[in-house]
Amino acid sequence: MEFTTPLDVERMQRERHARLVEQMKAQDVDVLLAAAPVTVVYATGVVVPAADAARAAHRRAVAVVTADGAPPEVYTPYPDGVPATTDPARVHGGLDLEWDDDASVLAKSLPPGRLAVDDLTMPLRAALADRELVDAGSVVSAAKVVKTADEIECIRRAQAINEAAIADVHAILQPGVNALELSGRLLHSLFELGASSNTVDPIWQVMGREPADRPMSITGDLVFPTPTRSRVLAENDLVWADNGVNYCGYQSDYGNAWIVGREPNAREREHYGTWRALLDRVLGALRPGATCADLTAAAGEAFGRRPWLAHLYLAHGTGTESAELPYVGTDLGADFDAGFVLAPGMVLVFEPITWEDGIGGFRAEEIVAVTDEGHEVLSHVDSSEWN
Amino acid sequence: MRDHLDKLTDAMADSGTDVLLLGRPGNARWVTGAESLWLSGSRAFAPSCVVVREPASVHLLSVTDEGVPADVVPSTNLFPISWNPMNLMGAIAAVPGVAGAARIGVDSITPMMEQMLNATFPSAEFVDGESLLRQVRRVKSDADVAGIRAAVALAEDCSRATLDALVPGVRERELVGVFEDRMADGGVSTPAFEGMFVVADGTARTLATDRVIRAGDLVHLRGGVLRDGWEGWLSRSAVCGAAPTDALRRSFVSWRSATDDVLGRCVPGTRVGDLRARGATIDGVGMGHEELADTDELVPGNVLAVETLVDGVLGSEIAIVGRGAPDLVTTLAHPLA
Repeated sequence: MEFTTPLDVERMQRERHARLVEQMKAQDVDVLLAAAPVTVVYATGVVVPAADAARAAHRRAVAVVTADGAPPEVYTPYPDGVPATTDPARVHGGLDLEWDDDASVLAKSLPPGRLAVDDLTMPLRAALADRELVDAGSVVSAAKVVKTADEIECIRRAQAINEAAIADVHAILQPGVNALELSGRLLHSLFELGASSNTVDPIWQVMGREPADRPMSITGDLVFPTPTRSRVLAENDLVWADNGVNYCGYQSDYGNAWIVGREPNAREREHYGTWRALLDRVLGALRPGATCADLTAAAGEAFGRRPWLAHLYLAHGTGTESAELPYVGTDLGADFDAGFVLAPGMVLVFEPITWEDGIGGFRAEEIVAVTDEGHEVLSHVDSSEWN
Repeated sequence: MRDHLDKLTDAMADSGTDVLLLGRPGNARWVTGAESLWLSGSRAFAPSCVVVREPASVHLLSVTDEGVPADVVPSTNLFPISWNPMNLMGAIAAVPGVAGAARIGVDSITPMMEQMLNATFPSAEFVDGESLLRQVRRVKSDADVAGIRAAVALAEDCSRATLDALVPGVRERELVGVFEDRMADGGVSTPAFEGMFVVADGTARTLATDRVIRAGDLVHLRGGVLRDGWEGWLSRSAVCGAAPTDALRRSFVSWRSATDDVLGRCVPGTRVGDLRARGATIDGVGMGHEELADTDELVPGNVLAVETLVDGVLGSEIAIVGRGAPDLVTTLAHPLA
């Protein structure tokens, strides 16, 4: 795909590192050991391939960031994934932190001072037993929560690739198609289009309109998402789609609702209209200085219920992680929402729903960046058939 | 799957472990058999599966019983996703048998989780549960092996499709899409890892890019799937759009000889480090990638991926350790042969 807005990956890397160092100083952390892939990518710009969690842990990239602002030390089994601008003297081979030897090598190489760590294998925990450890979460999330222009461009591109691949999927959506054919089409297209990787099993969940047609739920609310299985789609099926594609380390998040083989009827369009209106109310409240509680208040209710899933959220942040701060409407509670103030550069994915038993409902996702003046919608989800 | 839990609780008794808090998806799936949504990459530790030794029970983070085997995790043993660590601690503390536990194993940890667990369970000692899981998972049952065979069969089918698509002008990254498209045709949408399909140009290449593959290029192909949680993967070398040169065929003969030498040693009593000393990369195969130490001695029921790079030729096989010669699971012909 061709993109019109410029992207300066080198500048992005410089600015991210500066933000991490700034937060380390602010939180009195001397050394940051990044062992979780999403932190390493943020700290160093290295590329690691998508993989099952166990393989990703076995062949993980690791970064050591210091508060003096020196370039990070990078350990990676994927040398061709290291940015060309990285000083080769700072690049080392991969470490297998699943075993004592490499964990011990890493522990001994760390500079002295207050050490923050994001994830510990058991051998690494043992190797660092004599160090006082603090959790890296607060440093990393404080640095990541406000995105640079380049980071936002990465999200914009990831989403554009995702939406273009989805157009290919939508073209084959008809009664008789298997849900896994949709997955195959999506995966085929997104690599042709230039995605860096696919990061979640694509979801095409058929939503049972009646409680008897739905999975048992321990929250009492709808169960979504569930893993995709082989299933032939039939006319009238209500499909909620959700998938994530990565570009240069940044996530997209696509959500939409489709009715297989027919146009939505008047009642279903009413659901879309209600959904659109409530999202517009929420976006109307989205500006610098607003809190997450302002957003949940603006969402209000739809069809007699809170318009988001009980176990999830009205909105979540996105960046190098598919879900990161800010969280809006979670079990962190109303005080958390009221205390979280939005600022320019934050990027949120809104995923409200509407639902009525017997009818069904609408769910889509819109990615929105907070700007100096208000907000900018980064996604272009096509819900025209509901309108 | 109930046999996995029985094996695990026996090992917990032997090691004096009262409770396991598991956050790694492969561990949770191995114990419970429950499907969970595939997400790429490893994540910082948060417990999603609680195994209690006495009375033997498993509790799982899941909002539904769909895809959760009821003989291992009854629907009364589910707890919800939470964004609030305090709520998560509450859910774990409410599991019968956890509050009084003296030794609790974890499969990884974060400083925040360690602090919260210590505050919630002040009398418990937190120990390495990952090593325990590794030992128990290493020896496969006949049903486990059947799962791996099915995964390898699909991975080979996907590799065949990828080799068919290896024509002059194709970009490396497009081959990733071809592999995964075929995987979905085969009923699976979860790769073991995103395929490494790269021109072997003498530089260190591990990631597929937009590079255009030309006639005569030697290409390394490595792809894998997770089918019902079980891993199947393989690597092969092929020349794009041309017959291999005589020199390359000779290199393949060297590769075959070196690899067969290693495979012949995949018998009970061999130490994994002895295989690695012969230049092979040795990985455990199971519910996702499994770790093997140099000091581990092979026993019947181990499943190994043996990969070697000889004279620029890359290839792998998957072998089941038996009583005598190993049983090769991979059957896909090597294009350079």
